[in-house]
Amino acid sequence: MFRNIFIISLFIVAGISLSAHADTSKVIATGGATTIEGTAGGGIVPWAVINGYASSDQWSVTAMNTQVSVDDFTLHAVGASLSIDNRFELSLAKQTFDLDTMGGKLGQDIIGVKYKLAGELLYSTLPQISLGMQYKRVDDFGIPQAVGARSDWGLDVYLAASKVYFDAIAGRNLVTNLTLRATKANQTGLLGFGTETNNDYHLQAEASIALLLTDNVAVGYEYKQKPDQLGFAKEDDWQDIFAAWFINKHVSLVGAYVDLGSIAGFEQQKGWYLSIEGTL
Amino acid sequence: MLTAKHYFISLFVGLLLVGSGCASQPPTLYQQLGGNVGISLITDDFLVNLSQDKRIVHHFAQTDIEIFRQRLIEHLCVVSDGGCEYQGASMFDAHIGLHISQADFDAVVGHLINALTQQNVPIAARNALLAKLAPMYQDITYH
Repeated sequence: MFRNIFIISLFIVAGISLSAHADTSKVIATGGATTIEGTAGGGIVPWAVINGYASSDQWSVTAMNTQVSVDDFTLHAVGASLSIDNRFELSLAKQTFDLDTMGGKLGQDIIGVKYKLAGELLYSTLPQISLGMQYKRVDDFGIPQAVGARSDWGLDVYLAASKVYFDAIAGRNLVTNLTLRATKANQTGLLGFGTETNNDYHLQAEASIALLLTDNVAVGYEYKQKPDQLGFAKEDDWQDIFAAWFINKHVSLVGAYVDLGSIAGFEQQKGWYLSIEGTL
Repeated sequence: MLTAKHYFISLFVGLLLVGSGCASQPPTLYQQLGGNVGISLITDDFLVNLSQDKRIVHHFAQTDIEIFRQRLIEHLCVVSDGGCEYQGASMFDAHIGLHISQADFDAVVGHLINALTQQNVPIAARNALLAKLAPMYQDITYH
């Protein structure tokens, strides 16, 4: 059911983008990249920015395809988003998580919304502040349930603040982000939500920092705090160092080296992240 | 638009001014932008970029471009600590009733960045100038 809605939605977004081309105005790189959860941000941390280059009274669509390959697992994410007025963002993402060593796979679908509450990334003393929500549902509850998850769906709520400091380091502009997320997710939702004994929300902090070496090339670091609540195996925070190349306002590439820590008993999961994004 | 003769006179005067400065001082932002000559060239590229943008050019339908150009040059000189006197209205007063939207402002920022790039202004000077201009968003938009 959800899969059908997802596919239909992708077609609708693709149809809109083909039928009319928005003439967008935002400065290059200010839409950020797209996270594996489908929203504008870095690679793993949502930012307060609205995806794409739509400014006031404009709309924009994006599509992304991302692969993360670590020692014993491979994550593949595809997604699309619609942004309106540089104010509101609707996003869809589909993740599959291959258990390369163990065999089998996990997966989840994510519907996200984000609304800019205050501030402007480039223009205000106050950071840009956005409120976001992500509805997540696992494809198959079999494995998550077997390892102690309570629910096959969850709702993450986050508040993100993003600000660009001009001429900050060696004359370059610095992008800073802080995100607070309330979540019940195990391994971001791939292993379900909550536990048999605990259904509480956990407040987690996530942060990104990026330096724009040129107008369209950025290097940065991200840290994502995560709950550790399933008894069968330890869950670690995630982090990555990344380089983003906004080739133009329609195509961007992000490469990263990621450290996902311990996943399902497999220690020190490190590897590569590669993402391509198209924007209209 | 300036003629080539104007440019050469400006360039000559500019060189005299640069030559008379103390060499050991770190260059001011005004100097990094190329002084009066550089700012004039940046302004001309900026105006050409604006004039070619159908999204925003209608905002300048009632504008006396020669006066607008002079005020822009003065303004860039003042914000880059070039010691000029800005004779125009405040940013707030100058934009009353123009209903400048965020999209307009974003587009103008893009054209300024392009003009600075076209004039080979170093990225650090470009960002330093943007740092001074970006907060003017509040005074320019939506009134």
